[in-house]
Amino acid sequence: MRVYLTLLLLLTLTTVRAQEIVFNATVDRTAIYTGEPVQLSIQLVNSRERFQAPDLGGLIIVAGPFESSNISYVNGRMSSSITRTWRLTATQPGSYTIGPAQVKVGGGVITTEPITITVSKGASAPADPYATQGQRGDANLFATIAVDKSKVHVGEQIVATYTLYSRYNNLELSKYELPRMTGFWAEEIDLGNSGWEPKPRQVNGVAYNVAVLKKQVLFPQKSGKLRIEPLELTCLVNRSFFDRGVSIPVRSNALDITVNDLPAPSPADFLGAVGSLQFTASLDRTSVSVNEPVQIDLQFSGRTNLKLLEAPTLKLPQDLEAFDPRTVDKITVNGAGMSGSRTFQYLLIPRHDGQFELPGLTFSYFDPEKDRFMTLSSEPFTISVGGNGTSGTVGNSDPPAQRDVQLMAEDIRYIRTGDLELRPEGEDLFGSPAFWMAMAAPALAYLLLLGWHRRSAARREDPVLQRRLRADRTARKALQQAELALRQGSGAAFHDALDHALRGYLQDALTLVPAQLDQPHITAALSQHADGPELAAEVQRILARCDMARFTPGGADSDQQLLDATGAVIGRIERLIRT
Amino acid sequence: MTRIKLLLVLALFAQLPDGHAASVDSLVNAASAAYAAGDLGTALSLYTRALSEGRSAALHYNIGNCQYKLGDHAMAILHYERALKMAPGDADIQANLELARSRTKDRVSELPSSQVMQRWERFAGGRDIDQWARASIGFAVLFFAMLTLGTLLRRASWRAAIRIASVGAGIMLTLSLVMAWGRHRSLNTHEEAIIMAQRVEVRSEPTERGTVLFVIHRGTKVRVIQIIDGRAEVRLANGAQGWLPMDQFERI
Repeated sequence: MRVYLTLLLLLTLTTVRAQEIVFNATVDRTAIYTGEPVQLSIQLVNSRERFQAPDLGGLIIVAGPFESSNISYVNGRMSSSITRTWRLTATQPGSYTIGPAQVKVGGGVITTEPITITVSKGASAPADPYATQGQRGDANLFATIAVDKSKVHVGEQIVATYTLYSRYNNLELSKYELPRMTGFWAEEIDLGNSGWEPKPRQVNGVAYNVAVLKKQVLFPQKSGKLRIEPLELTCLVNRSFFDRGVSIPVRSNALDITVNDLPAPSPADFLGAVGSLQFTASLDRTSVSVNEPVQIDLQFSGRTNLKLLEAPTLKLPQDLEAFDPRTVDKITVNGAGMSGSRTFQYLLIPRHDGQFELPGLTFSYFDPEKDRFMTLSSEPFTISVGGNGTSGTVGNSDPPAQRDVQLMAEDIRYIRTGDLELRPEGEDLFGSPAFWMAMAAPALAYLLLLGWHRRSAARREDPVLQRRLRADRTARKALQQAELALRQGSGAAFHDALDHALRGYLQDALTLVPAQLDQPHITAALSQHADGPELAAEVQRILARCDMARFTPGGADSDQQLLDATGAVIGRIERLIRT
Repeated sequence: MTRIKLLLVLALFAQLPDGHAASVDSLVNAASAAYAAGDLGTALSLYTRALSEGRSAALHYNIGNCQYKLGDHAMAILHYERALKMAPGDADIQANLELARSRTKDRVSELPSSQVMQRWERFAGGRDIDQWARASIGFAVLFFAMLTLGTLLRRASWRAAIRIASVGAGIMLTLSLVMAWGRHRSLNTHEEAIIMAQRVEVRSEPTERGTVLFVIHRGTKVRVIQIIDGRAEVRLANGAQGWLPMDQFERI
């Protein structure tokens, strides 16, 4: 209000003193919202000096300067005025002060009063923060890199937009360097033949010619803080036929993307896809003949990095041959990111008839919005394979194609388990003392036996020895006969038998001839023994008794006593010669 | 004196099995479990510890498997060869040895063992080390028993039959003794060796001055002929012969 008053006062002054030089600055309002324009007019009256815009204190020139001059003659007196007008705005709320404008007139300097403009936060939608930031650097020419998300998971797609904002009418890109970035898998979005956008874009009330230089879909491949370095350009402005123009370097903002790891552990059937995904499995037919192909299509569709999707391995039953899958892509990359579908077409050839069960497939992907792994699954299929279609013509049909069992890989055989039959070292049976003893034992036994056998054979062949050995037995038999005769009461026969037995025994046992059966010979034969003479005497006594009994029956002993005495003496001699 | 010694040996035999066998069994079982679980390092160290308690073809075979899976094919070959020495003609050992040999650098043309050869080796090797020694004892008993019978029998026709049979037993006795001796010899001589150094130059003389005749690599099998001044003269399966330092190989 005070400004108005001053203005009014000054106007009245000019009318009073028409030739007086007047220099003042005015604004149409002193309070605006961000992005709203404010008009600054600086008027110089009665002077044709040039003057420049004052320090705008952070306000941005939206348009201007526009110049108007006015010359008037009133009552023969000429008065002139020049007015320069700017349209200004501010992007940030706050208090801005337009500094004093200066003009040199004559010997002195005239200044205007500073003006304060209050800017409050606008109610309108906030402008692009990247553009706002760029605008703060250079309001006339700047570039931005914008992403739709700055906090993502590994593999989640981001759309990055590289934009150039310019207020120059004539601009040419002379150098253009793509930003460096590591850790991303980038996919270009085809922008077609795009140049400057037809309509200027307002950034905080300032109109810019805008060109989208490039759009990319980025897939971070690792976790952590990934940085997109600034985009660097060099622009030539105000270039014309005569002028080489002014070269202005432009450097955009850099971006930090926070990439989070996927939650561990990931499922075994995780495809590696992050985003949203659907899955369908289809079979072109379920009933075929042997060796006829069946096609199974696995279609993955959705918004994710489909190009990195790899063909899953099918777990197929035996005798169902599968070829490497064909990949059919319908992928579009646009401003919304990468989407579409990727289809894996497997050709299966049954080599045998029967029912083949294809188990249901399950896959997992990570949904960053739900922040968890999602599972896709398909129903199991059954393929019924008939004979080879020529059943009508018996004998003409080919035998089923046979194939060798194919060795897929080589590996060592499995370890031995259970008892490994460990034995201490150097304990071979062969060569050990026990071995030689065991070998020697039968040989030794045989040799012993052989020796014994030889000896017994030699004995058998010696008649004297044989007689001697059999003497006892022969004598016992003879004694039994004598005993028999005694029982029958035949005294003569008894004595004969007794005599015969004793004499026979003595001949056999002592190897004597009948003529030697007298006392001295018998004594000599038994002389080696201590009781020799006594025994010889006893023998002699018995023989004498037998002789006597022939002529005079009955004597000192009874016949029974004689028999017993004979048995005893034979026993004693036998014991003597045996030892 | 000998009787006392024998008694001592017998007493040792009687005592050993319980404590000794139990610890070895648990060692081997733990090793097999570790192998099954894929913990090859543990399995190898346990089997190697069991090796100090005694030897067997199966144990060497298992160690060979561990070494193979751990990537040391030369050590695997060494243990497979040792196992094969104890169990000649064993199909599993030969298959794995074949595979381990195919992983080594040198290809020395070695006659692949045929089915017939394998069978003969299995026969000559016997089911275990003592088979031929035991057979020798058995045939000795049989032979002398027949001789005895031949001496004792009275009837001449029987004696003749027994005599023929005893000749058969004598032949078998000689055969088993020869086999047992061969087995004993092959187990107790260590003429064959596996190269353990990554690369060895084989020279024409047992000195550094000798001309380098050929170069062999880790895992190749050689036969040691003689040793002079810490250098061994070796022969390859293909007949090539030369000298190399003794510390470059490990005897089978």
